[in-house]
Amino acid sequence: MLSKLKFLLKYTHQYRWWYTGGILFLVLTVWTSITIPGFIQKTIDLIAAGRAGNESEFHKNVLIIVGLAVGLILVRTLSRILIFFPARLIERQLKGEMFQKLASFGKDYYDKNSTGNIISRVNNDINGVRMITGFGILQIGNILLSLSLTPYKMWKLSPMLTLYCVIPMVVVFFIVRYGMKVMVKNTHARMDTLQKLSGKIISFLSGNSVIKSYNIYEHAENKVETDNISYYEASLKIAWIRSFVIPLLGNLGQILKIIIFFVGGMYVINGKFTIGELTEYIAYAALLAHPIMGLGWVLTIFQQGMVGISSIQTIMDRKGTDDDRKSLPANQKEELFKEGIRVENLNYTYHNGDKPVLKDISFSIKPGQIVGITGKVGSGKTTLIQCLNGYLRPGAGQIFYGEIDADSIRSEDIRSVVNTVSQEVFLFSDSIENNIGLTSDETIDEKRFDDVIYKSAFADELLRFPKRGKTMVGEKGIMLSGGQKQRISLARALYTQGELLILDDVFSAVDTDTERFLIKQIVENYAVKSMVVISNRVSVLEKTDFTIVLEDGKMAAKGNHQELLKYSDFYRDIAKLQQEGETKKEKQ
Amino acid sequence: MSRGKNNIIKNVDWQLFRKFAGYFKPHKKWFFLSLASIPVTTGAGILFLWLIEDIVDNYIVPGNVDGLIRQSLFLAAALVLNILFDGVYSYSFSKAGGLAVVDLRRRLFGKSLRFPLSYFDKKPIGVTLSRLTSDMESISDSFAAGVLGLLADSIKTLALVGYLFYINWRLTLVLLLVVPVIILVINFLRKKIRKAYNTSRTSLAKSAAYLQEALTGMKTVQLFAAEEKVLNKYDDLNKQFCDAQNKSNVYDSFLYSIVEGITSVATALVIWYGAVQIWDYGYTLGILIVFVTTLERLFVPVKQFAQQISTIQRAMSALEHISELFEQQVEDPKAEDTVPEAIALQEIEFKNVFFRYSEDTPDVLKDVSFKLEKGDRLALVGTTGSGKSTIIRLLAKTYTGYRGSIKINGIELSEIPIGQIRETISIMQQDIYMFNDTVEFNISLGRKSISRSDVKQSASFVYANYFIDQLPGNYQFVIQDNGDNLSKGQAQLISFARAIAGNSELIILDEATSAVDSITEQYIQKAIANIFSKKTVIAVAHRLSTIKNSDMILVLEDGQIIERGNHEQLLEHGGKYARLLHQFEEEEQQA
Repeated sequence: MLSKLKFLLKYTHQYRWWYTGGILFLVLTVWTSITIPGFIQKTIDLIAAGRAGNESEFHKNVLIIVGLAVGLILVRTLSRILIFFPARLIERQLKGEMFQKLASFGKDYYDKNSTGNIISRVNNDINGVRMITGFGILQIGNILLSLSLTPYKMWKLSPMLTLYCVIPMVVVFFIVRYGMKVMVKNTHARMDTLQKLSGKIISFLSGNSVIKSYNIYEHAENKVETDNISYYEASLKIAWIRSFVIPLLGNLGQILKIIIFFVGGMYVINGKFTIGELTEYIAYAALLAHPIMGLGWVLTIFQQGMVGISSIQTIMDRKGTDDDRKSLPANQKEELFKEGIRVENLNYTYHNGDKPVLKDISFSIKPGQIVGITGKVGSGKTTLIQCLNGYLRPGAGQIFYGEIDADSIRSEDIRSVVNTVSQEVFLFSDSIENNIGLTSDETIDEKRFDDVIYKSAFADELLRFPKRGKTMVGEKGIMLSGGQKQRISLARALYTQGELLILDDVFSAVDTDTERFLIKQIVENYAVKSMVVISNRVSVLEKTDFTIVLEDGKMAAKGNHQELLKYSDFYRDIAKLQQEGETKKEKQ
Repeated sequence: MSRGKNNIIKNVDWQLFRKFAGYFKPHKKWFFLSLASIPVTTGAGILFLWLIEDIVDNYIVPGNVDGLIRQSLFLAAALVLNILFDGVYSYSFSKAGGLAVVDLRRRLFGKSLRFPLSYFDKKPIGVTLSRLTSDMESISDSFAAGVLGLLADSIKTLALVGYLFYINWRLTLVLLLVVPVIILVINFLRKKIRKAYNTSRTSLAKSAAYLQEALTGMKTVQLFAAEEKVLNKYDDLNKQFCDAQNKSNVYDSFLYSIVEGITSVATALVIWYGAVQIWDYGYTLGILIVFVTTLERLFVPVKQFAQQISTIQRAMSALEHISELFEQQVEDPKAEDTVPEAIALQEIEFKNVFFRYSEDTPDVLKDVSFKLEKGDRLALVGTTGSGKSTIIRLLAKTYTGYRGSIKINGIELSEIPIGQIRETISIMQQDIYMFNDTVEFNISLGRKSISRSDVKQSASFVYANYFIDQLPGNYQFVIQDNGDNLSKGQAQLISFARAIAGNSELIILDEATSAVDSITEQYIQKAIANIFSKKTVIAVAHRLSTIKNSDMILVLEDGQIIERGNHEQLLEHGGKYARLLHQFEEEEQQA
């Protein structure tokens, strides 16, 4: 609880002057609204006293009421603006901070938390914080002020009558509060059934072709109907409370009126009250209904907001992958790849796995070398390169950049020298240019852009898009084919200049001609100085300085084309198969 | 011009409205109970006012204590009546609306199951889902809160104003002076608010979409050290949202404060004119007090009016969304719910078949002809996009509108009802779909003709029994959505059993390309061999063993059959087939 309050204080404190101003105007608002009934009382008693001698006094009081009403509009507006504004600013700030934090998490976090789940946290939980820091603070101020000043005025008119009025207020408040609790419970239940219902609808619509093929509509319909009905029943429970319990609050003013007319009427008959005072008293009671209604909502807002805060805190308090690593000094950073990379007895086991995926792998990459990695599906190729580029962290003493242990280097420093084109291609719904430059508004270096587009064999195709580099890529790149996306992603890696380029099976998604072109551009013409290439194409592997053959996480062989043809069964097999394919083609 | 356009929109709205209202019919008793409560609660409200005036003028001012007690009890009774019937009104309307939505959802879900598959090619399932859930929700909510709220509030306010008019029309007129002012102010601010609100909606949607993208592509972002750039863009979108929101905040605050403050201004007006009346014309004080104490009630509907209009608009746009589902044709409108008889398959013939998926795309099948007799095993071979799957889709009537002729036992395919085709053919699809239910259900799919022993028999026919026997609970093992707790190969075996259990003569096998472990692979090959030995099969083949065992192989390229024959003949020929074969070998080697 204390840490949550601290959390709120940390953010509200930054905007303390906004809040101070807001509260000040709120005080004025409440003060003005409880001053008005006093003048109403005066005017009514003046009317009852008759015209003679009272007329100018009466008119003066009516004008005061009008003046106060106009003032009330102004101060109320200001109080709301001044309090709602910082809440939105806090919302924006939190979204940014949360994103920054999320960007520092690694694979283990994203394996466990689905994107949908994270988004709902960012949006809903932060919304909860905004409700507390905006509407919540306004209502609390309003309630505290109204519920202390208004009853004071009532008490001054008649303590006894005020006590009578407290009874229905308390009773109604607790009934409604209870009703709200039941309602919140049912709202959750309703959300759950809605989730179930949605899940089933999605499941059956995705399996639509099976349902059609086997004519089993009835089964799907019955399953959905069960949830359809239970959803309706949950909604109806909420409707019951909404119809019969919650309105008690809205009618609190009317309930109080009955008591006031009865008891206050007696007072007037006894001469304790004037008729004007009776009216004034009713006006006060009307002022009470609002804050009491607000009280119910404020409690709900705080309850939900606090849940949101603790879920935000679990994210904010989580350590980022690089939190314990220090940035390299500029001179070390520049020379990070000067002596290449050394891998010594590398072992790796996934956080959710029980068997090591990489076992005792040792080799080194010198600047200027091209290294191939090959092996069957699941032999550990991708895992190996992800250890090299710092996406996976195998622990200290296994990978060295020059003399520096990779375990102590921040990911961003590693990536200033290492660029990776991974198998899964991700493109933003943005222009091709921005996807390659990974920029948003900064202008792209056109010469470099044209160069990398050419080298990644995308230049011809780009010409076919009327807007060229400014062409928008559909959501996640839907408009483009797999091969095109792969090449844009290659261009991105070439554009972001580094010292070592890692290509994870990039050539598999393109046809043979494009493959040849790419090999020529990138491998033979040294688009980059050093390279690690995962591939099962011998045409690629034969151009490397040496190739590592992985088998079941172990390094089964290492050497150049000729050596591997001699010593590696796997390499020989793929070479033979591909050779046959080539000759058959040429015969044609 | 613009008038005509408006009329059309209104017409559409009205039709939609009537269509939806039709769903209320079976639940009309709740609907009428709701309507009937309105006059009761309105009457009770007026009675409350009349009693207040009566109490002030006839009991408090003259000093009648006994009468005051009695009248106060009446006052309480009037309020109870008012609250109670308000509740009945809103509860029974919610009930009617809820029941109507249950019916609507049942009907439209059933309907969307029967949409042609091409519908879901164009519309993501998520869209249909939100039509069936959130859109329907806003309809049921909005109708209760919007239409009937507006109706009830209008009736109550009219009654209130009418009553005030009746007791003192001059004072009422003075009071009503503020109404046009309020309406003008509200209208002015509402326009501003709507504009700012729209901007904020768009930027919020943009920011949420961007967040989703950035999270999905987080790995790429991190590998390129682009966190900073992405954050800046995200923050930029959030700033747009924040600014728009704060702009609308200013108008919102004004609107709220004006509506609240206007009560006090109106009070001053009423007191001023009330004084004139009382002093000059001898009216009673009770009337003035009724006016002063009920003023706030008069402005309640004014406050809610804007909100109710926007809820109604939301309901209307939701209705419009849903109308898509109403209008979409189902796959086979003539189909009846009874399961038709399967055709006793003798032969299938494709003759000069052409096909394209839509008017503005090129043909994906060009002049395809072949013939298949009972017991034949046909393999379709070719690269992705060569038209293999399209042939299967046409035969299964997943897509219609081919040119040329496709005949089953001499009957044109377009003449055969879709249900009958589906009874005749069993398809083992490539993307295997598993229901979140038991293994037994996933094989039988609840088909009444398939008994428990049929399930076991078909499972062992396709060698699925070996792994099923290892599962906890065996045939009662519950498969997670999409088969997440099975391996890909196991899911394939279950889908084989599923197809076999239906006992169809023709099996269509769309082989999955994904790699499976070697033991399961052996079972799969054995299962396919078993199926080949008993049934007529058309296979979109990727496995060498499947291809080799076929009687006839069709090699497709770019929508055309370029080679045909059996394995030996084609290999001898040394064409495209021979080359493809090596590719398959290579893939199998690597996997």
